[in-house]
Amino acid sequence: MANFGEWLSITAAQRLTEIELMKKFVAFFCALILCSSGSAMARPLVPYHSGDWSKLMAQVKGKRAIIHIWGFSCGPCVDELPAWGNFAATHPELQLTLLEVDIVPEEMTVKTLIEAKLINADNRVTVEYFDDYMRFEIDPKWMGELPITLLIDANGSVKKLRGSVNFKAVNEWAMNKGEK
Amino acid sequence: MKKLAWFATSLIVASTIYSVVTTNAAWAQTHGQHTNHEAMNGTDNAQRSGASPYAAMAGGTCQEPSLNCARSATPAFAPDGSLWLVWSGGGAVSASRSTDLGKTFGPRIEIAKHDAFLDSGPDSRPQIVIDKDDQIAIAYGFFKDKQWNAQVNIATSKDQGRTFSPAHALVTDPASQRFPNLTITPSGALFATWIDKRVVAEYKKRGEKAEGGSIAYAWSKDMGTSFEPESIAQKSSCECCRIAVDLNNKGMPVLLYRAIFDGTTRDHASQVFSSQDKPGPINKVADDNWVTNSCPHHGPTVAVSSIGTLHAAWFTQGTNRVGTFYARSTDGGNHYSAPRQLGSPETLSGRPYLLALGKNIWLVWKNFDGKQASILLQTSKDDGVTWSAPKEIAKTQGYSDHPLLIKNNNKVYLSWLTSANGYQLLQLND
Repeated sequence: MANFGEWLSITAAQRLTEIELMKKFVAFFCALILCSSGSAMARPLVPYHSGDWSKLMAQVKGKRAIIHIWGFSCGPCVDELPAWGNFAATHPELQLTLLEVDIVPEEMTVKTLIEAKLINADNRVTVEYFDDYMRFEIDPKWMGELPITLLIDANGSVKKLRGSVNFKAVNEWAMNKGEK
Repeated sequence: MKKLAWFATSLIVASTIYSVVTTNAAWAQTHGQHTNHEAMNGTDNAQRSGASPYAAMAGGTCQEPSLNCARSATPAFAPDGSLWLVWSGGGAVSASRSTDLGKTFGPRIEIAKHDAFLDSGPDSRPQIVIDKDDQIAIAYGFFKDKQWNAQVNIATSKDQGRTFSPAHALVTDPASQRFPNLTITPSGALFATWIDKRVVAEYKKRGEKAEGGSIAYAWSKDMGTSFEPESIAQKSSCECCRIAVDLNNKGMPVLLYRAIFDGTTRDHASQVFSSQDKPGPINKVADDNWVTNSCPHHGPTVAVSSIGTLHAAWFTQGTNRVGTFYARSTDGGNHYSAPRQLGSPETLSGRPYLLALGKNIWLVWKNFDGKQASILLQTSKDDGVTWSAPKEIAKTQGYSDHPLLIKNNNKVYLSWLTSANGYQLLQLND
């Protein structure tokens, strides 16, 4: 290993070349670290189970938030996800929670969420069979149709949208900072 | 240069350590929560289900393919009066035979295993039919690729269920299929119908907007070993609701399904086959006007009486009515009576099922009040003109399947799978 004295003794041109090379190495490895940390630190999927709905509602209390309930057994739900990804990018100020209600391999959920640019949203995924009890906790009159979207105002009022949403209307809700 | 090599090596080591640490932290966070959750899950369900031996299995942790862990079970009677049951659970499709009307079952026979890729959605269940020669056909759906395209498979037995063929594709078209339904006609032909995505796939290939699926069908002359060319009965249907099928007094299939009218409205339609390759006109059952692009996960039911009256029940959330409804048609589905609500709009009433025996009609549905599920029964002795008052005939706490009705030798039974009480076959008439 060259000591500092030897390094000082080499020519200025050689030093310049080494410094440029070192800069390139530093840039490369910084990028490597950022890439690896970016994927490793992607927001983890949060397991959802019976009884969690009240906890979720407590977390959004006093905030404007959207909770979007979807499932892999629902074609319109999966088709709509990229639009939710675009919505999330347009409205980073809003808390967007997605709740997936079918038990599927985690790798599939992650793949789908990455493709929809939703991997960094607050993603809840059920780890229990989503039965009558779990639906009842959310809405006593919900018979299981998907998707369902809740627009929640800071004052706690909830607007429920059944089926794929009209994003123009959701955008208007999102842009309206005042409570309705 | 040595200095440069040392610096680069240090960076590699540092980045590797950082990556491992952060990845493990994220993994531990996710999986730690899973573990805690699973431990709590048993407690939750034990409270729900009282002292039931099935209580600890009622939640998402139950991963065995046994009947105890099943999510849906479908029955069929064999000519000798024994009861066959096919169920999905633990990622497998399994079958077993009972000689004491469902009180006990023989060894589990595994028909197929697809783990998390088995289609076990809320309205999906394996199907089983048995012909007069004791040949058995079992159909089910599974997700065949990572784009969630599904495939309908069939397995058959020619030796009274001692052995089954390997499960294989029922449909030749490569597009997605789900929700098979099997029916045997009095002449011994096997009728298969399913939700099919080939029409939607063609639309999308041309860049045109298309929603839902189609109602497809095919016939088999050899009890499911092979099927005649596949046909489309209705191009536009909901893609996530079961199809209901019964036979009319001519032995022709009568279909009831959630169609998509005008590309937007998911209301119900019936079709009565006039011959094997003529599915008949598409008739709307009721003008519910449920305009939605969603998956209701809630298919209808149909039964045809001995004099040809069509009895239909279905769930809707239309602008004209919300809830579960019944109607009948005395002209082969051209016109239906005014819908009559089952349960009330204030209760969770759904999953209706109909059965006809002569002019006697049985109608069941499920109520859920947040604590327990109950099965309500109404009967009619005059082909649906008048009905008995609703009567609770079964109830349970914990997970429960949809109620089904089945008949054998003029006896009618409720077939109901529950986590707390296991499988139940309840006789409804004398």
